[in-house]
Amino acid sequence: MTSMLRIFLIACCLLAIHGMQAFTGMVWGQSESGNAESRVQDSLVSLYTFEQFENGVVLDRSGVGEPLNLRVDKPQNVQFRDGRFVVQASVIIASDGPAKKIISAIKSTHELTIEAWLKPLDNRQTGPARIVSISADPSQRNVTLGQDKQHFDLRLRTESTDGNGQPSTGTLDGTVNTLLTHVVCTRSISGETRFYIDGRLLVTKAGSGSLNNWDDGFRLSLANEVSGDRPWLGELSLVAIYGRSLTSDEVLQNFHAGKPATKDYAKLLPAAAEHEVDFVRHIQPLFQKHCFECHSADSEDGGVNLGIRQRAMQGGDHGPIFVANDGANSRLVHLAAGLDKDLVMPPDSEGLSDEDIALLRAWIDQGAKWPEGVDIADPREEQAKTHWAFQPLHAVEVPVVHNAGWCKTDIDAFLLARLEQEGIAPQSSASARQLIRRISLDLVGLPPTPEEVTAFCESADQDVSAAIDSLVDRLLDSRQYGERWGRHWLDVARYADSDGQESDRDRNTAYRYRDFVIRAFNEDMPYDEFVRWQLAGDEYEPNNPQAVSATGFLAAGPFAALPDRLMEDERLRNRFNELDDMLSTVGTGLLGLTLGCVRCHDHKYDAIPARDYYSLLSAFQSGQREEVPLGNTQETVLAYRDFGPTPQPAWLFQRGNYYDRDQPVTLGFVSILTNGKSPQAYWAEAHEQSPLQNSTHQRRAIAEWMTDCEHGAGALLARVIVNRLWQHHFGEGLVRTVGDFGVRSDAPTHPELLEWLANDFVAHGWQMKRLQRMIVTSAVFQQQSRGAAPNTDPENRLLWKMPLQRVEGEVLRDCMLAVSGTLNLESYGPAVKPPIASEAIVARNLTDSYPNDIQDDSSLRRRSVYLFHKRVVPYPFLQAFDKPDAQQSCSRRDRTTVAPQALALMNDPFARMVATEFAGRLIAGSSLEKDEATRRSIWIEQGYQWALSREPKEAERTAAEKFIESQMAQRSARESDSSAAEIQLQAVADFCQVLFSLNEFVYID
Amino acid sequence: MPNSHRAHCGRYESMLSRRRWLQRAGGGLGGLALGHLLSNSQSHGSEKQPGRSGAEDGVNLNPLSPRVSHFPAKVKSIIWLFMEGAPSSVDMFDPKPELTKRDGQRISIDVFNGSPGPLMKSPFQFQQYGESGAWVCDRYANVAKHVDDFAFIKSLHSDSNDHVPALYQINTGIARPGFPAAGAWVTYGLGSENQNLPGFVVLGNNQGIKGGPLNWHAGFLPAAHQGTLFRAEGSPILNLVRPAKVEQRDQRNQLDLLGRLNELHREMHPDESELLGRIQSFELAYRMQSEAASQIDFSQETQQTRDMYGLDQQETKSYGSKCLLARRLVESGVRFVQVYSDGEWDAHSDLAGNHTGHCRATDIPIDGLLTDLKQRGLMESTLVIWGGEFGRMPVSQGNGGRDHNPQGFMAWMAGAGIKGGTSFGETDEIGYKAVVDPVTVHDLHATMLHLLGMDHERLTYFHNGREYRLTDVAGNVLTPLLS
Repeated sequence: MTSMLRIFLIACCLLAIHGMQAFTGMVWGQSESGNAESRVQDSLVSLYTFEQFENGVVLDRSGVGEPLNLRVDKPQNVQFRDGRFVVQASVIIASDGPAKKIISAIKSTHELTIEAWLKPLDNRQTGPARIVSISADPSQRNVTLGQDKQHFDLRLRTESTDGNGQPSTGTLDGTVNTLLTHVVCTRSISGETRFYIDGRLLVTKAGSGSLNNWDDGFRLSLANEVSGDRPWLGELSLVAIYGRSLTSDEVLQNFHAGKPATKDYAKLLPAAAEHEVDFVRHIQPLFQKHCFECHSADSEDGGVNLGIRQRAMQGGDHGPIFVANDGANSRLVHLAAGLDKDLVMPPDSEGLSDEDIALLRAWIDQGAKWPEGVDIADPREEQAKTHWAFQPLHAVEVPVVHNAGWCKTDIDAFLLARLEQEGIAPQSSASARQLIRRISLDLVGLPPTPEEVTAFCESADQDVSAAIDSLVDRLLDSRQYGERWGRHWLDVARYADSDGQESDRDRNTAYRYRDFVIRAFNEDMPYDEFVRWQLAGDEYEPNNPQAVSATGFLAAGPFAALPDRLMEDERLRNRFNELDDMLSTVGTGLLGLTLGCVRCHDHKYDAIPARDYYSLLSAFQSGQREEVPLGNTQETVLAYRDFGPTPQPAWLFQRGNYYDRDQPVTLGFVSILTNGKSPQAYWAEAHEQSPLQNSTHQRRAIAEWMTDCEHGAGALLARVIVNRLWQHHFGEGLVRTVGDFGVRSDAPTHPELLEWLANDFVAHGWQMKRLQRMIVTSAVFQQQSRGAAPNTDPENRLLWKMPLQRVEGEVLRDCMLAVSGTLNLESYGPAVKPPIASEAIVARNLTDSYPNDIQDDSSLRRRSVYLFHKRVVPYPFLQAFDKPDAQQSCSRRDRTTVAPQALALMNDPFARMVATEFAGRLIAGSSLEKDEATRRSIWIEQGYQWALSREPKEAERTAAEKFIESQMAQRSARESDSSAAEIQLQAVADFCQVLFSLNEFVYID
Repeated sequence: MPNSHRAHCGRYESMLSRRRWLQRAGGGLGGLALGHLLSNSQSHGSEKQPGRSGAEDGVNLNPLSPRVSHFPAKVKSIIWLFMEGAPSSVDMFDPKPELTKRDGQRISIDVFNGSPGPLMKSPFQFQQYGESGAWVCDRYANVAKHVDDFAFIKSLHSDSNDHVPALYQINTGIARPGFPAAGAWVTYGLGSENQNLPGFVVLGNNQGIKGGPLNWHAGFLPAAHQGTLFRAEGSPILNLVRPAKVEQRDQRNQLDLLGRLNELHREMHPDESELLGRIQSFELAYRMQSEAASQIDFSQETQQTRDMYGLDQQETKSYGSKCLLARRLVESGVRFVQVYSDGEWDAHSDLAGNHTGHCRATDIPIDGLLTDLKQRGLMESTLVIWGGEFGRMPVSQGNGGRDHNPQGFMAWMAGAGIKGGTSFGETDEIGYKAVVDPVTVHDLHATMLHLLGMDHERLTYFHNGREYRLTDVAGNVLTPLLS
């Protein structure tokens, strides 16, 4: 290990170890108060407390015999600061003559103790750096306590060591930190050496030999060798030397007698609250909010648990954290108040306020009363009880706003209320041209034609609202709507057309699930039904091909069965990975719960025990993905089916190990989302009502529970989908962690709005189109996408403007095809394989390899949602634009901007080909004109109309004209063989390729 | 951010609290995760870390811009000589006298394809080399010259007996598809030194690699970190060659017009840094065309270099070209290069023939690469790793072959930060299971990251509700192998 890393790690370990270092409030320096008497006095020989520092002399305050005062050779290198003695640079602090009284006391007993309160500057100093030494030079000594990087070291000359006191005794690496530390090393006549850090015995080492060979002439030095060549830097607060060994109790006594007076904490802290403090009302919420993550349940960092009274009173690994009736001197208060700048609690989030500290202080001052029966053994359960996302739906009032005239829908009132609260004005409405383009791309993922734009602008001139309403109706009714919005859902469903894994076998019937999704959107299937069918369509309508195909949701993940001849271990691993994929997708995709985490252990943050995971999993264990016949036809679909009516036995596995069966489980749900109706009751109903005999009906029971707003997970299900829809309209969800609604999720930006939307959605039959119509006809959606950012919300989280959004790769491809006039709008049916460059087909051993000789034709110019997604051979153009890999459920796509995207638009033969076709379309549109300049002008005009739904501005027109002219000249000059028509086509294609590459083409304005 | 410290679950991670403290204590060193404005990715790691490299101030236009490591690094680049198909340890570098002695004996053993044969001694002769006296089989005589630079790991083990999950595991840490590859984590953490080339390059083979691109996938990391397949001939990267009928001047004019029109558009959206980033990505792409193409132009290399890599012999030409390309890429600042062997070391029968062929194809090129790296001083900043996705059984399969064995296999590392002439861990006396100091794939990854100056416990990415790491919740740096 390199030393740098090592130091770093050690330093960090130390912080951990000392994080909750015990501290007693008794103050050493207040000797007049009698605390000094609590230190061990017997056999004390010398004592340095550094209370005063004058004339370069450190006084021996032992009161024993002749004081052995020490002189500092370079007083400018030390500082007497805040009651501590700080060695900032190399000095020699040494007695003028031999340390006679110490040496003789020790030689008479063959025992000694060196005690110090110290704070090293760092844990890199070595030599060892001498802290306390009775010696002559670096190689001759009686005894030396030193620091060697991360450990303390005691060199003690005995008759069994050399004159340098070696072999020495050391603490382990990692025991030095830069906090104030109590160090004691003590040696008994038996030869045993012990090291204590902060009162705790860390090292016991047997030894032997008398101390008869101690040299009577050596001087005592601190913070250096008397020869000046082994400096130690840091702070010293106390050094004591005893002429005998101290017992562990005595060491502890000295430790508890307190570290030296440094600060008057009472003055540094906010004053204690004066009223009576109630633990449950005032203190526990503070612990809950600020401390429980690391200090409750099974997280006990530093050994501290603040959830349970008895554990809290014990303190941490290093002793108590409260001083009875003394809040000002309690470690807990100091850490919370940030008095120790090296260690602040909580470490990296907003800490406690002054008022909180005042309460904490007062609570301890008042006796730290902690009533019986209020312990919180597991805050996850407590948190789940109150976590907003896990609550039943509750009614929300539409807020009243000042500028009610701005609002077009109830949604607007919620947004505007927040903006008004912040004093931010929303942007004005976008132009009709912008709106038709925005709404078209948003709802169907295709640009409007120039004719549509013109017609819309004309009717908007008459009545904007009516024009928009009719536009939205038309788009929502078109098949392209389902193709656009179904694609969003296919990300969640990690849908692809092949197995993945080594063989990556094609799934030639999987598309029926994709078609189900598109149809469901187009037919506005209620979302609760959409969910029920995807989980258990076969158990609802076994004879309905759509319902059966819907369970393709469960089957859509990557998986290939292994042959039976292979090892059982491999096959089991494969099987449980398959099941985990299904359950994780159900969890993240439908409920916004990261159930996958629970495979190996209870959820770290959400109150989801492993039992819930395995109880849910047991339902999927009773079946598998397979080719399921559709009704009475010859057709099949890759879907999910139970093995039969008998549930398979299932177990809770320890740590996800399928060989480690903990206990049998039967069907169950996420228990925090189950209220007043048992899984068995759901199951019995499902059993009774399902027309399908040959199935366990467990999935139907799950589906019923999941869509049940009263007793089950319906409220969460509704919130999650409403948020997903919002995300796809605005780029970000109201809750940004779209696939995680657990207690660690991002708080909603507009909680009331989300609740209102979820209520409204459920109340109106879970209809997505209705909700989307409301969104796109809202004033907030129709705002301009530009405007100066207010200081209070530079990220536009409050939606004071419409966010600018980059289109997905699929939309980009579809738009290119659409404007070039070659998009094939055929819907549904088997997926088509686009040509892929052979150098991008790089996997071996595929059962179904990807053809490398595909010829482009119009059947391949389908919308991107119909392209064959082969998991191991992804289509490079879409992959470059962040299409997810369909290995796991994807809630939110990355939106990267990288050079390969530019390369694709510049050099991919597809991009060039479509640009050339677009050029052909433009040229054809100008064929009646003879004049070259007029023709150019038409190309540019029409190119802008098709690609950007607007006219070019003058500067754009000029630049484009010059460009086309120059490309034609350039090409004519070098391509003498090409016809004028060909040169024209290529030059216009150059221009069209630029249009495809424009930011305006890929960002929805 | 409202969620300022979403730690990943790591409940069984013994060092959890240490790591947590470490994050908190050492925040200043933690600005490692990308804060790239352009990706809008959920890289929460970056937001909670105050330390940011200069490149992250203001508009960061490239997620691959170089970043400061957690601590000073010994290694700048990694070349991973990937022996796909799984070479046999006992036949290459780890001879087992007991196996020779018990040749032909039957033992109780479970193997991937069933029907295990008896114990089978190595068909090769072994000899000790160098001052370290490391054993190397007679088919690898040129590689053997370098053993004093090697640190052997002879006790690797992993989970799956099947190639593809095993490939995924050694590449991503997890024996399931869809997780980010080590190279992706490395560029995510450190960026790359050369902005005109990808930071993570994969030199594949002609017949394709089992499991395909998921072996160098970015997984849930931003797509920019995905490994780029780079070919030693033709167009090294996809879409690097201009379309037919478009010449460089045509394209230059296109980009000039594009820039002009995009600037006009940007005047309406002056605050949107993404738009600026996208404008610049086209210029970067334009530069990449010439830079990447020049990498595969070996015409300036001397005959001596060609000989060293075996470029003019049929057997060694393919792997030699890839090794030379790897050296050139590393020299140009590419961070992570994986060099897949051609064919598969997957000797289910005739191990002698299979391994002899693969040794011939790689022996001289690897010797050449190591020699060349030393000559150029690149060994001071490059880590070279040799190994496959698992190992092979001590018992025979079919006609003189061996089945898969993930329970005990080996790798070696050489170069910067490595203590040469060392060996760590052992399998049992027949080379079946790792028994002394077993080493996991996580340990290997932790060591790689460590040499690059990164703490594997702090290189995290927030995804689907938790912080992910290359090393999941495990991994120990193999300190005995480090200089």
